[in-house]
Amino acid sequence: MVFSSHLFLFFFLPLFLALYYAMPARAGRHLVLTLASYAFYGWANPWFTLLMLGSTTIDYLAALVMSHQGRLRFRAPAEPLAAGGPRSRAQKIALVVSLCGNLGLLGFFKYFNFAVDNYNGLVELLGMSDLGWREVLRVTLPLGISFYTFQSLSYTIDVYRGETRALGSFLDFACYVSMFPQLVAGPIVRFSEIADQLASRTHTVEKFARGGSLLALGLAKKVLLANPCGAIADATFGAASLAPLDAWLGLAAYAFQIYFDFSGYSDMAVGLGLMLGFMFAKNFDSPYRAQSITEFWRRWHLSLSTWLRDYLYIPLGGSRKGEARTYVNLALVMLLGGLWHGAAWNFFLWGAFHGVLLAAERKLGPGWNALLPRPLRIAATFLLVNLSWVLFRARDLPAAVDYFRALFGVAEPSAASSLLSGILYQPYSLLCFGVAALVTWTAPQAWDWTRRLTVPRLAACAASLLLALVAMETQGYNPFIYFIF
Amino acid sequence: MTSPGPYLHRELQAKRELGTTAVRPAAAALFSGFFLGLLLAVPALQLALDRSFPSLPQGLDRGSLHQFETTLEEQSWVVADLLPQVQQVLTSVLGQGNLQVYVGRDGWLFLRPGVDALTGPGFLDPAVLERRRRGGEGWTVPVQPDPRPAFAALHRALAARGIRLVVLPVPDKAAIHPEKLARRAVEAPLGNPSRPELARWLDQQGIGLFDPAPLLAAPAAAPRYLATDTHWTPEALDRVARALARDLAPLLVQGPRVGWHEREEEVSGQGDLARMLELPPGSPLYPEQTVTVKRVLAGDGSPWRPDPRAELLLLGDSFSNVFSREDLGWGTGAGLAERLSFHLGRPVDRIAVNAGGAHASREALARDLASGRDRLAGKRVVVYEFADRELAIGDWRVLGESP
Repeated sequence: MVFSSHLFLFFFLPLFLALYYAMPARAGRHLVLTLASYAFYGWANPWFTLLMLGSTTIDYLAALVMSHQGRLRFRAPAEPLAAGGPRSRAQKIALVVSLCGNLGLLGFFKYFNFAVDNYNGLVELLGMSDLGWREVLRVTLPLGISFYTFQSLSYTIDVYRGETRALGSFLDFACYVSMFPQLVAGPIVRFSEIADQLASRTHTVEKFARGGSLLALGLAKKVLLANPCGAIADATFGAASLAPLDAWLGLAAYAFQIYFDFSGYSDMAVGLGLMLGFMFAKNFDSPYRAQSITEFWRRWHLSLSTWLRDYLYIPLGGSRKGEARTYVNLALVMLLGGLWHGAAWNFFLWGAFHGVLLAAERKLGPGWNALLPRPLRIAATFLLVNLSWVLFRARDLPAAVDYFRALFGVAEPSAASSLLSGILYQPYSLLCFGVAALVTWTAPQAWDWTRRLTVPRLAACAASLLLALVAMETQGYNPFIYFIF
Repeated sequence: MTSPGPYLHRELQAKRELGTTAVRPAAAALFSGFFLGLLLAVPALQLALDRSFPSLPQGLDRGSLHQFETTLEEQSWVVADLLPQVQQVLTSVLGQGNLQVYVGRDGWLFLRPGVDALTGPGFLDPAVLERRRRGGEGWTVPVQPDPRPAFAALHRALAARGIRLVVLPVPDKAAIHPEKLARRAVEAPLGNPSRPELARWLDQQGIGLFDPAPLLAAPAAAPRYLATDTHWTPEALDRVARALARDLAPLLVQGPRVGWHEREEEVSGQGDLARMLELPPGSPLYPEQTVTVKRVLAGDGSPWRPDPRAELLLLGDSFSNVFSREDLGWGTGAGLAERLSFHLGRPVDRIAVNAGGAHASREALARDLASGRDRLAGKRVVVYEFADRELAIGDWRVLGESP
């Protein structure tokens, strides 16, 4: 089930809201939210709910064991563990169990096929193809596993560090992990961010209206901007050969698609959360207005970049262990961040590309591009980010190479590629592309714009919702890009 | 110790910036009411308009859930009543097609999978074949993307009975009329990058190939494809039938010619692509097109019929059936088998199934053979016609050692 679908918007959401608000007590509302979240998640594949339930159970128990000095007690501790204090063997084992459980799940479901394919490629290269594993099962990637495992890990790690108390209620914890607004494509909500909201939160008309307006704008971003730009990108990235202009148009269209798709989803997630009284942190901060790659990563997918910073970069030493170690840490974080997005060498190279650029900017120091006027700094950053998106979007490495060749006019476009001119330059496509560009660089963020909801702004949100709903019906099944991560 | 600062700042930011919204309570209530009302309007109107809802899913498997969701949407009044109006605006004002149709120039429409098969990677590319093999939904049977095993199996089965196989891939509309879609000059015919490789393979296997693309792309007074339909015009079909008859005649035993005669008739129809756009009934955007068909009739004036005793069997899809079957909306008696029969002066047998050109006609032949109806008895040639795009998107399942 996806947010931008007939079933979710016209049936699931109204029914869920009715049941949620019919419950008088917090526990009842959490029960409804948890059950609805499992139904939402299980719609794609019912078996995957068992995986999520298993992961949730392991982490719930691990956190309790850690909190009660190695004993399993089904109640919340009075205080968090002493931050930085000693930990017993049992507590360490509990953390390791959580880490292995989550990372093992992620590793198996996400990287098993990748490992098998690379193994087979290697043995073939070495002329030992009879050692290949041909009749091996192909593993299906559960939706959102990258998100909920990271989310759940943040909980057990924070409990271990003493930064938060473990939850005594399994229902509350299951509600936190499975919460459908952010389950399948983030934002990755740290437990610390909403621990107090799970215990107590307000439900007001103002929050509901703000949530509805964010959902409307998020849906509009997805349906009116991301999807049409995605159609342009699909045409170019699916083509065997391209003229350079078509290739650049398709690449820019993909840049808009992935931004509006993901930020639109995040807006909808924040909006849905608000309707339930939750306040999730911002996930995007106009990333294409960044003036450097470093700044880009302070504006793009904030929940992931801060997670990697706090749970990987800083524990590795961050920038505290000398210059060389800083670059190694940066590279490692970006490489793993790339692989988090997908089990393919494309994503590894995408992460490496950004890692190299981040290291280079660090070496050059802040203000390295101060001589350039601001628009040029933004344009240069956008160009570099775009080039990295080739690796992200192309179906495999050879396709990415072909696309780069098309971009720079190295490859001769085939006769059939001329047909693309009839597909890419239709008025509808160009209009959506133009509006996407305008919104990217001139419009205020939905997050800021809805802080003050005047009557004209509410009317604009209502109109956006109506237009988006109508357009949605013409588009067929349109999952969010980050569902596959 | 890790500072809680960074994410705490984001949490505080969220609480500060989301926790308070400057909005008048009445306006907030009104908007919230509108929001919920709009979402509830769809199921409410579905009930009020006395439209049905689908039955709940029969099981909790992915296929059942997916089917339920699809049916829920298809049966919605939004799709039935509102969507055609919206599509009308999108197409007329913004030149937008839909998931199945690209809008071309001068009122022409193109089937998306056909165009994508031309612009996409080679259908015999190993990576493409592997991707197609692994793709699809979890509840559907995996496709067999490579046409070569199917051709080889059919060829072997026919050769064992002394029957020659000739493959006839009909090019997509955009391959012959790219000028009606592209905004840059391009010369027809166009083709998928793997076509030459397939032609070489067919030659190595001893399988005949009749490629009508150069013939159709040759200069002609009139278009070779219908403007708003997937299929070729009667003149284009006849041109191909005449050339094919010339090539096949030496393979057939000489005998007295059958005295077919032809009668010209005008037929008007709205193309299948225009129907796929699901515009409102009576939309003036794509009016009917009128063509002249040449119906083939027997000496006594009775309509042409396929003859199971014929030496030639045509396996085909809708390109064979158009102008022959009423349900395609372009008249009867002037399809590929009829015109081929007319130009040969010989009877022709036919098994043609609309859609699924990669396997449907072969499956129909296999079913007949399995039920004891030997459609290959007395045959010298089998012509296997299919839409060229099937090479890139079709399911070329192999039917054992029989066709």
